[in-house]
Amino acid sequence: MQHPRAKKKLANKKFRTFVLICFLLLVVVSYFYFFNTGTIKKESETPSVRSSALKGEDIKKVKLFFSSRDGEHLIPVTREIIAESNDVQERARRAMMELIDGPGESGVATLPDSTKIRGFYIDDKGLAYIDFSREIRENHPKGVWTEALTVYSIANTLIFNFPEIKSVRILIEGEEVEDLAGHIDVGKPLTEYISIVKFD
Amino acid sequence: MSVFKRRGFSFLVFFIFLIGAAFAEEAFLPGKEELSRTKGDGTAPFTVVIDPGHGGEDQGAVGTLGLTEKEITLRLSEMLKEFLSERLGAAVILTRTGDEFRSADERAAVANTNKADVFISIHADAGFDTKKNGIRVFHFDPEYYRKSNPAFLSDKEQKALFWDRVQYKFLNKSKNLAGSIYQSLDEQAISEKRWISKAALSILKTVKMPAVMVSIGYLSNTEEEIRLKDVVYLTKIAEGISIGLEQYKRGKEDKNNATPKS
Repeated sequence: MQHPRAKKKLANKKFRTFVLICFLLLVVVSYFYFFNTGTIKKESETPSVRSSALKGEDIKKVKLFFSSRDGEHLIPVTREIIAESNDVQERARRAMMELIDGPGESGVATLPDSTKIRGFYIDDKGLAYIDFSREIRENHPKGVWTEALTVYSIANTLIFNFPEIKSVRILIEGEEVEDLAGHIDVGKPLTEYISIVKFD
Repeated sequence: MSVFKRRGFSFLVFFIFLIGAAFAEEAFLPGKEELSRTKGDGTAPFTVVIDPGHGGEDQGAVGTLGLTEKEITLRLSEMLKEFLSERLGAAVILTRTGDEFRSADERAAVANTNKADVFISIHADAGFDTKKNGIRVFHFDPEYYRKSNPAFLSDKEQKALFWDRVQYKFLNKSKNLAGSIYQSLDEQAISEKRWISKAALSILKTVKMPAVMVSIGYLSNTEEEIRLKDVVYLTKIAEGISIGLEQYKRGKEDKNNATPKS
């Protein structure tokens, strides 16, 4: 038979072990929890570091994805863009305006040149919302493969050049749309699509 | 004291249970397998649903001479229906028989409720470059399932996007079907150029069977537009598609016969 005090001591010890186990479990669980969300946080920290490193620069080389001459792939065409500010939204918007302007002799356009950009915004998850005027739909030739080239020239140009942008959502006249010309699904955020690109 | 000890123990059990439950919720969420419910029993006639693209207020692409995509897709679909009924003895259903508007969901519903064996959507192309021409067979892009679910969506959210994942189970069969049709069109040298491509096509993603889209030519190319107005040329395309489908069906039957029945 144990002494009551020794018994109490033993119980205290067990209680302490229990608290310790609970604490350890809590640490492990919260580690996993914060580790997962932490990676996203880490990614969204990079833009500010990157843009501060680029401060003072107003000319940037970008790769614009136009259609190849045979109309089968996207090809990267290097252009210099002059942005009024170093803000990524401003630079990405400039790149999109260049994309709308067309490739000249080096390829085939992927967007109607009458298209305007009504708005551009990047949220804290790196999802870029680009709002086009109705011309992107009304003046599009409306072909299936042509639509695929249009959609991925937009997504690839934005994601390939601006690491801050992880995905792209296309809007027309301020509204989220399911498609541009009736075929390709743009109802969800688009990510870059490399298999349509031909790098030489 | 022992009461406290017991309570401490039950707390521990409860705590472990809570953690377990949190993980179990993730683990037991229905996955891709849930989508693989099979259809048909094989005894029904070979059913093909043909989907003439566009219609009604939705004209689709328009050629410089005024030929509309909605018009030409219906014309070709009707020809294809005849070929498939005659050659394959197939039961053929069209998603629209007149100049009417149909949403992508309505079109897919026709194929899904009729438990079709094959779904063929007929479209035409048009480009910024008016010299571009050719015929193209599409199958659904497998990358869609990866790229349409960006990393910032949780696993739970990704798994919840069920309804637009129904084509997932048929990606390979659809690719084979597209291959057969492409091969047939290529062998008969229909159109100056022939391609096979994959794309995230809205119309194919909610279809629960092998599914392809055939884009019969570029309306933006005047020469091709003139060809597409020609009944003889359209008949050749329809026949080319039907031969490809016949080869696909035969390949499937050979495969079924080769597997011993238990």
